[in-house]
Amino acid sequence: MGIPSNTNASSSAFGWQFQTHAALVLMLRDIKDIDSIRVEGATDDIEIYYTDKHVDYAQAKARTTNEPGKGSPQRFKDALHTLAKDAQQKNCLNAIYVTNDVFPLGKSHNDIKFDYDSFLTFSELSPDQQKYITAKLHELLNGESDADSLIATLENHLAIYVMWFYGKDASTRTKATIRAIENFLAAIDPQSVSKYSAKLYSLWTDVLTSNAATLKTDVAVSKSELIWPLIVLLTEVNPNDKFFDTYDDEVVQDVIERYGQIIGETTERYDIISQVLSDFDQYKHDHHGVSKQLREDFTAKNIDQYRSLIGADELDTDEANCITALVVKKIIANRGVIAEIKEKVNLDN
Amino acid sequence: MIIDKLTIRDGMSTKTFVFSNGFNLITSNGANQVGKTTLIRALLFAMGENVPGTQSFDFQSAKKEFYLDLHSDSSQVKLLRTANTLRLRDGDSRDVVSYVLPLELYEAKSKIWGISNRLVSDNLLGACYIDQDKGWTLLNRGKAIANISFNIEDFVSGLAGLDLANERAEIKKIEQETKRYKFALGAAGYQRDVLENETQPIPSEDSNRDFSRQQQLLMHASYLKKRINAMKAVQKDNKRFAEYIEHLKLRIKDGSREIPVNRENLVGFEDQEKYLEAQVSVLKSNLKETERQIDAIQIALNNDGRLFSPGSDLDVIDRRIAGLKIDSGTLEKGEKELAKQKKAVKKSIASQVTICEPYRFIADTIRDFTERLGIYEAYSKDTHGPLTNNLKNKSGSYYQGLVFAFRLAYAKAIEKYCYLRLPLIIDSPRSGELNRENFAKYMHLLKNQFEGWQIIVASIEPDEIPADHTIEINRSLMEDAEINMNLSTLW
Repeated sequence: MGIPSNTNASSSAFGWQFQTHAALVLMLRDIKDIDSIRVEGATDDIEIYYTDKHVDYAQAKARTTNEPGKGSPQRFKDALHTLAKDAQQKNCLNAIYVTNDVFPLGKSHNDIKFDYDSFLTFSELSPDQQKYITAKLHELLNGESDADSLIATLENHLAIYVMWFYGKDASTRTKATIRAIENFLAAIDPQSVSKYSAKLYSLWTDVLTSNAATLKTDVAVSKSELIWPLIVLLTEVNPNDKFFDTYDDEVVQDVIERYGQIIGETTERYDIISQVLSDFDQYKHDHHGVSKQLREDFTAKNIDQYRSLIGADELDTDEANCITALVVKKIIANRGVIAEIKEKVNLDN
Repeated sequence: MIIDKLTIRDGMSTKTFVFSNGFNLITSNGANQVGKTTLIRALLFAMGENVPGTQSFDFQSAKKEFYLDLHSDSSQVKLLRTANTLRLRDGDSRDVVSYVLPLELYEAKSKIWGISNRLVSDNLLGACYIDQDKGWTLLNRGKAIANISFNIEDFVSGLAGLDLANERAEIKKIEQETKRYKFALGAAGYQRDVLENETQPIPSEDSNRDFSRQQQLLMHASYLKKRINAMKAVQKDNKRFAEYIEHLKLRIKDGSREIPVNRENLVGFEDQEKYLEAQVSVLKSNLKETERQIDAIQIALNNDGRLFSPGSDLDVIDRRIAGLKIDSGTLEKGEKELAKQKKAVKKSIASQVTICEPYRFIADTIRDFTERLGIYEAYSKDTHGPLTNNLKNKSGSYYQGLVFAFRLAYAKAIEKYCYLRLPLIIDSPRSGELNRENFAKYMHLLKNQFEGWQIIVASIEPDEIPADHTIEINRSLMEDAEINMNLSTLW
């Protein structure tokens, strides 16, 4: 029996969602080394491209009933068709079978137990499990002249990943995905976990779902596309910002409500950003001290100049100074956040 | 002031109507709807007034021009009216002053008539023009034609130079407040209907809460859309900035190497572009979520047992009104109190107006004219005289006679206090219940009391009108028009 040439069969809504979530979780496992990701790719359900040009190919097969193990041998066998083909790709790093079934090979081959969030390569499986897989591959590739070579190649690349994805209730079903996002955020900025995990979940699943729906299979979602929205969230203006500590609460509230949009637009204009950052770099070069104090001093000394630059001259003095200080500090802080996140997820490499 | 001639240009066709200094009759020899009223209104339009054309003759059309020549003992004026512009030339001078109408109508009228008091100027038409539709119903307050009003208190105080600005402001304020009360009372009545109408159950508390929430979400969605557009604008600005830098073709030196400055090596530029793209995508995601919530609430509202749509204005109003706390009793009391206040202010105005000389002159003139028309006895029963509010008892030919007397008295007052004889323009005096005998009295009054005035009367029949110049229109206003390409002869 040969390897089927087309595996782009349409999935059920559940399977489709599982595939997107699996892609997200697999990506977050290796976010630092990843360049981009494609759901419903040309070769397999999920394709994860690394910066070193290697690729993880993944077949996503979900159980939809409340009986783990039921039907799983058949699902695994079906996945092997495609995974064997994946392993032949020169750039293949892993050919991953990803499922939500804790008995991925069936209940009778459970001597190394799969928990949720388990990622095991072929060599880490029990001899019985390896024997079972090899037998399945022989059965599958029976008659192929280079069957032994194909089997050896797949065994070198094969991995099995089990993740939780089950239940009618959305928060129950997606808890593994949410947890993966929370873990990722905790590594970036522990304070942001509760604030942004739900939003990031929504943003990322939207992006990946729409990528899966794109007919052009060579269109991938870059790491940059996924990380920049996080930077935007982390740099949002909010009244609890420590920048506002020196201002009266009422002024802050008023400024945010009335001038939030202007502040947003001003801190995003390149000509203003460039001028503020350039001035600040020169100031840092000419003065010594801890960075927080330098930022405070720099803002205070230049408040008149920047008030005119952002066009706040006509406002009430307290409000104008509050807005100007916020804009200046925000621009400086944003650069810090951007640099920090880029380094943590290895964005520019 | 005498109208010498009016030339109407419609495309390439021009038609000139010449008027005498005395009694002019515009007639159609029994034919209806051929253009008499159009010609009368064209005269007013040419003077700058905002009067409407007629169904068959649109004054505002771009291809129409109205040239009017006027003169007085000491001056000559040429006017050219086109749509919303009036051009004025003094005598043979080549200097032309242009006025944008209706914005500069007061300035234009000051120049044409030499009347500087705004209150007189605003009420001028009521004193010199009786329209066939509205004119014969306007006695002392109301519309002279279209939206051009006449008010006797304003007119008299203008002639007397009385300053009633405070009283007028007070009345305006009371009227605005009364409007609000009326609206609120209307809403109270409608609320009762809504609450009593069993076929339209009032939405539940939950629905009202959902509805409020939905309104908030709609506002939020609108805010997000604005933010998205603003971000896109910033993206464009940044792009333009980079293009400008590249356009300058700047180069910097790094050792012996020269590097062109472009968007790729502008520090932080690429990051900023990505930041903004992400900003837009976050906002779009927020918008999508907000719209999803709006839709979800919509479904809940639809399931509330009533076909409800936030797009349906009537349903929105019903919901809002049903939820309002309206105390009709207090509102009615407030409205009555305002009416009282208004009455008091009006009384104060009347007491100031009635003691001034122009008022007494107008009252005397009306008395004289009503005597001549044989209706004084009936008129004298009304103790309010020229300021009467009681129009109920005035009907038929008696009322028409009163209108005639009042309006002509206004013209006389302008002559006396502004030293200006306005051309008297009267459209269809035979209309209504006027019999032959009374009509003869009208004409007699005009002929004898307005000797030396320019009078222009439009009438379907020429009989019994003592005109010394007749303009006949038999088929249409522009009948027998000339083709005239040489505009310099007109202006």
